[in-house]
This record gives sequence, C-alpha cells and structure tokens, in this order.
Amino acid sequence: MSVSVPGLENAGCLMLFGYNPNASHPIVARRVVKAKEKGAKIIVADPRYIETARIADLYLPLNNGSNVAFLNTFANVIVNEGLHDKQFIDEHTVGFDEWWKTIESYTPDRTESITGISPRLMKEAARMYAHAQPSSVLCWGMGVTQQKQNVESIHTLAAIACITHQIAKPNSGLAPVRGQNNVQGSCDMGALPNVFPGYQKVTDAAHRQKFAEAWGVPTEKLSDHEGYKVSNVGHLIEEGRIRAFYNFGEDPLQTEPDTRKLAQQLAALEIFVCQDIFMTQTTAVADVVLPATSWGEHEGTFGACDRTFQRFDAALPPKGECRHDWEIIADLSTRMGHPITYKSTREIWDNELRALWPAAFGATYEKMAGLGHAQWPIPTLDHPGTPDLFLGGKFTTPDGKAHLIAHEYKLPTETPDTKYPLILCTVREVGHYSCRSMTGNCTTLSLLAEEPGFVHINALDAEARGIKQDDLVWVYSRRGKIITRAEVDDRINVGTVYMTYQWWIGKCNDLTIHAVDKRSATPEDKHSACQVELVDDQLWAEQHAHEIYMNLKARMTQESAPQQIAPHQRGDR
Amino acid sequence: MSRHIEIEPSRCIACGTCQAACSLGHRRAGLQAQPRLSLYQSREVVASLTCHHCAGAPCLRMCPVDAITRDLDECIRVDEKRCIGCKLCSLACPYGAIDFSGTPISGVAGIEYHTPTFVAAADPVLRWKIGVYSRAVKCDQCVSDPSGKPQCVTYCVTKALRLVETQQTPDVPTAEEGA
Repeated sequence: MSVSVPGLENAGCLMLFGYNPNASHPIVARRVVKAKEKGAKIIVADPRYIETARIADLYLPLNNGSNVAFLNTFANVIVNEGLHDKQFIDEHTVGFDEWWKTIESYTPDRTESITGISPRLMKEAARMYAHAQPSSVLCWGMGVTQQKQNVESIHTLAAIACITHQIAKPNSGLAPVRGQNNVQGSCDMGALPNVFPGYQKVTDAAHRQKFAEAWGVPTEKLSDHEGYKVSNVGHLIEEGRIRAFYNFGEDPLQTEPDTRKLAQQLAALEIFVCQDIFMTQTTAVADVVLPATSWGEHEGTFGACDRTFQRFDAALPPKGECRHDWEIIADLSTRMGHPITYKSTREIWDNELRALWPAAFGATYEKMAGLGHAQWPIPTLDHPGTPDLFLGGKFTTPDGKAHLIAHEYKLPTETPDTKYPLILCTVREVGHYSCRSMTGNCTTLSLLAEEPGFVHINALDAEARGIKQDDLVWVYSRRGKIITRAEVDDRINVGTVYMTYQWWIGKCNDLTIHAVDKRSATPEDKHSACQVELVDDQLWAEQHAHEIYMNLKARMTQESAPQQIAPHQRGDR
Repeated sequence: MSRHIEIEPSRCIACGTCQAACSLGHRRAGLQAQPRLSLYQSREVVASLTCHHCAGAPCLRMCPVDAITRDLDECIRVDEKRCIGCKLCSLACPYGAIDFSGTPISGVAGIEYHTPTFVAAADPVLRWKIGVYSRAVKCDQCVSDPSGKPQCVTYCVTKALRLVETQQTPDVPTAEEGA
C-alpha cells in the first residue's frame, strides 16, 4: 500500500473496487466508517451491494468479470472530462500517449453494455474521485486479483491514480489490502519463488552473491531462476516435474481451485510433508505431519499490508509435540547438510532481514517492543518509518517515473451457458477465517455459522428454482457437485451466486475452475459457471449433509490420533 | 428507571462480534451459549436486534410456570432452569426476541452426534432435537457478568451498540394493546 491503514481515515475520498472490508478486514472497515464520519466521500464499485455500499455516496454495481472494461472507461472519462493533472503527468509519468491509444475507445456509452454502469454514474464517480481533497485512495482486494485480468486491472488502477495525481502525497494512492495478517510479512521475508528477503531478485547475480556470503555457501549453490508457484503445483506433479511437496500453513485441498483434481494430483507425489497446527483435509493425506505452534504459542513479528512490522509475544508454552516453525525449518536444514543454529526469532530477524535488507535496517526489536511498530522503508536506526510512499512523485522505477500501461478488455475464461447458467464467485465472510482450520475449532464461531455452509443467491434466482431461505441445495459445475444451504440475499445481483471458501461440505472449490494468470499464478476464483438446484427431500438432505460431515470429522480425528500421547511417552526429538 | 440496548445502524459493520461476545459471556456464566442478539441485514439497514424489555412484555404474561420475571431494574429475564420449553413466550413476543436452545445429551463439553430431525428452513419454534431439553433464551443484559454491563456493548468494535438508561420503560405494546 502506498498509504498506511490509519491514513485511510484522513483521505478525502475512498474508492473501494472489488473489496469488501467488512467481511475480510473488519478493522479496516472500522477505518472506513471513521473516514466517512470525518467527511470523506465513499465510492463502492462491486457487483454486490456490500456493507460499505450502504454508507457510500456512490454505488456502482458493475457486472462480474468486467473490471478492465470498467477501469478503462473510468480512465477515459477522467481524461475526456479534463479531470487529469497534466503537469503531474508530464513531470512524473511516461507513456501517456501510448496509454491513451488503448483507453481512447473505452467511452462510457460504448462500454455500458459490458460494465452495466450508466455514463452518468461513471462520470459522477470519476469527478468525485479525481476532485477529492486532500487526497483519494483506491482500495482493492481479491475482487481485482482473483480475476483473469488481474495484473491488467492493477496496471490501470495505478495509471488512474497517477493521471489524477491522487498519489505521491500523504494519505493517497493505492491500497491493495492483503488477505492474511502476515501475508505481506511472509513476502518481506522472501517466502516467494522469485526473491530473497526484501524483494531482492534471485535472478540478480549481485543479490545471489550477497546472500551466499551471508549464508556461508558458494554462490552457485543458490538458484539463479524463479521457482514454482503454489497454484501450479498440481499440474507440475502431473507433468512429473514435482515429486516431493513440503507444504506448511496452508490447506490447499480447501483453498485451491478444483480441489477434486488437486487431490488426485497430490496422490501421485513420492513424498508429501505437511506442517500445520490442526489436522486438515490436506494434512490428512500427507506422508509426514510436522505439528507446529499456533500464534498464541510463539513469538515473532507480523508484517501488515501497509508495511508495518509489529512484534508479538507467546501467551502459552507449546503443547504436546508441537515446535515452532523456525525450529522445524532450522532442524530440517541442519539434517540436510546446511546447519542453522539460531536460538531465537530475534537472531533470525537481525541476521536474515535487517542485515540483508537496507530498507528494514531500522526495524529493531526494541522499536517494536510493547505496542510499538516500524513501517518500512526504515533505513536507519533513528528513522521514523514511512507511512506514505512516492511522496513528491518519486517512484521506485529505474527512471523514477510512473510507467502508464493500458490493456484491452477480455472475457473471463468460463462464461455461463444454458447448462451452467449462473456465475459462481468466491468471497469471504466475517465469521470464519480463510480455510477455517483455525476458526472451525472455535466453539463460539461454530455456533454462529456451521456446516454445510451457505450459497448466497438472489431472491429472483431462488424463486425461479423454488428455493427458500435455509433450504439445502445442490450446487454443481463442470468440476463437481456439493450440497449446501441457501442464503437468499437481496444484496447480491441476479445471475451470480456467492460462496465462501471455508466449508468442508459446501466446498466451493470443488466447483471452481483452475485457470491461473501466467505472471502472478493467481487463480481466477471469482468467475466460474455453475447451476443451483433444490434438494427434493429436505430432511434426507439434512441427514445426508450431517453424515458426510461426521464421517469427515471422524477420519480427521483418526488421522490425528497418533499425536494424542502423554508427554512422558514421547521419544527424544 | 430502566435500561435498554440501542443500535446506531450507520456505525454497524455487521462483524458479529456482539453475537460472539454474547455467546461467550453466557457460556461462562453457565447459561446457554446461543447468542441473544440476531443480526438483521436488509439492503438498506444492518442492525443487531435483541429484547426491548418492553412495558407490555406479553412473554411474561404467557409463561405458565413464572419462569419469566421483570426484575427491579425493569429488565425481563428468563430463569433457564425453571423454563419448561413450551415456546408460548416466543409466539407472544412481537419482536421475535426469544429463541430456543438446549444442552445436547452428550453434555456441555461433548461432541454432538445428533441426527437431524427437522428441516432447518422451518421456523425456529418448530425445531427440535432428540433428547435435548430446550428452553427459552433471551437477553438478560448480562446480569450475571461481573462487570454488570452487557457484553455486546462492551465489545462492539465501532461503538454502534450502546446502553441507554431512561426514566421511562421504553416502547409499547402495553398490557391492553398486547393482549
């Protein structure tokens, strides 16, 4: 994010594009409410009338899968209405003329049939966004990234911020609010297939040399090419290019698209190792399970989406055979021939991150003690941290300027037809988190929402199928068929149904298409075709859903049984 | 003097923290864990709703075993031990603020292996489970909590919920209208 999360409160306009903070980040949603109370204008562009749409000044109900067409039109209107900042474009960007050649044809009259947004509404939103004082922020989430044209949308979002000069000043710019609490932190630490800690590319010989020296290994031992991305693992197993898979802190059989196919692919592995805190559907099929500690049992740092590092402490000692993730990794590395002898997370932080990444050098454990934090770039010990990026129009490109890039709109991979007439879009809900391996083990949260989960369906679509609230329904696609409960929802659009990731029985990822973007490998989770049908015998359906859930729970209990041993019976580690 | 819980819908973000806090607070007090607030969501409004502790209190007059009482603080409470689960109060309540819940035969800490006996789409009043003694569950303004404050108000993330104390008991129906 070019802006800090608290900074959102001080913006003059927040435009939420494919982002539902109330479900994915309630704490950010609270900031949006506060911004509104401070006088900020709120624009929501989303196919669903999300919670924030209720308090928004403008709501733009765009069609599913029309992001690039919408954004190109939004940019077109900005230029045609003269809302752009010519001076900023001349001084701080390159490629405007080339960019405009693509954008020029996306007039609101021409694209209305694709986006569903009237020219009048589009113009009103563009004016509100471009004119807002002191700043506007474009916030987006998975509604942008889990689409076929994800990278394309982000290029255009960035271009919109640049041409209007709603970036490069305090509390402005771009806010891709990331999913998990530490997803940014993991990327910062180099948990990506193409970079070392601090986004230092593995393809750069100077970076390889620097890390080889720090780790005391010959430079040629470090890989000089990008590795595989997790969403491609299944297909790579099929092609015989991956034979061993070490998976930790993920439940791909719940969260990856087309899970039935993935399950077959994982079965072909020669060795499958899983590291997790609970037994999940994925760990249940692993050859080896390494039990790790939960957030309450270890200490360390989190890296938030706005580049803020925070420290946290352990509340409890590890239980049973559980060990800290870093201990397991260090032990494995030592046994595989490269000794890692760290004694604490602080040593790792100082040696692996601060010493090797200049932008984080000032983020000391002392600075983050208690409720303290450090926001990178923070290059020196006395640096206050950087809430806002690109101030004064200094961008991190080689020439210091923003490069404007435009793309033509393309249709999603799978579109509805007569057999599968509904669009299936995967979303988040507030009650359960991600794959539910954690929140599903919390009694209170299970009480509020339980299996077999829900499919949100518009009242008109429900009525056409004879479906009432809470009825059990079949949902099926080209990939699979599942049973779940209908939630008749007047906040969603006709023709699309919405399901959340986490249900084991009403598992939407048995239905989703596996189509990944070539550059980011992000799957197109927001657009598959499906059909919904009422189950004729509702009482049978209740019993059936319950039975398959109980069978799954029993299987997982059995899989985790070997762990239920008294401490004194445990062998040496 | 009476108190009731009020909501400011423009501040509510539908996060459900009120329900989780309600459930946890009552479970800790040894009462049913069923949350006593429901989250109402329409296109225009979102609000968590609970008992109004109204003046008329038709629930109180319906109860055949006097399990429902109006306490000195004007709060309407159910004695979950005395309740026989007849559901008359729920039928009488004009706000739909009374729900039913019971402890399964496997016990408080046990894993529930029940066989569904009802269709979930049916009205909550029509639901039943084999071997479960279900009883009326409603807002008691967390009288048993050491803080003496309703947990939903304490934990509301955006301060959308608040406790209002008034000299008059709020809203109708009165005894005559509600009868």
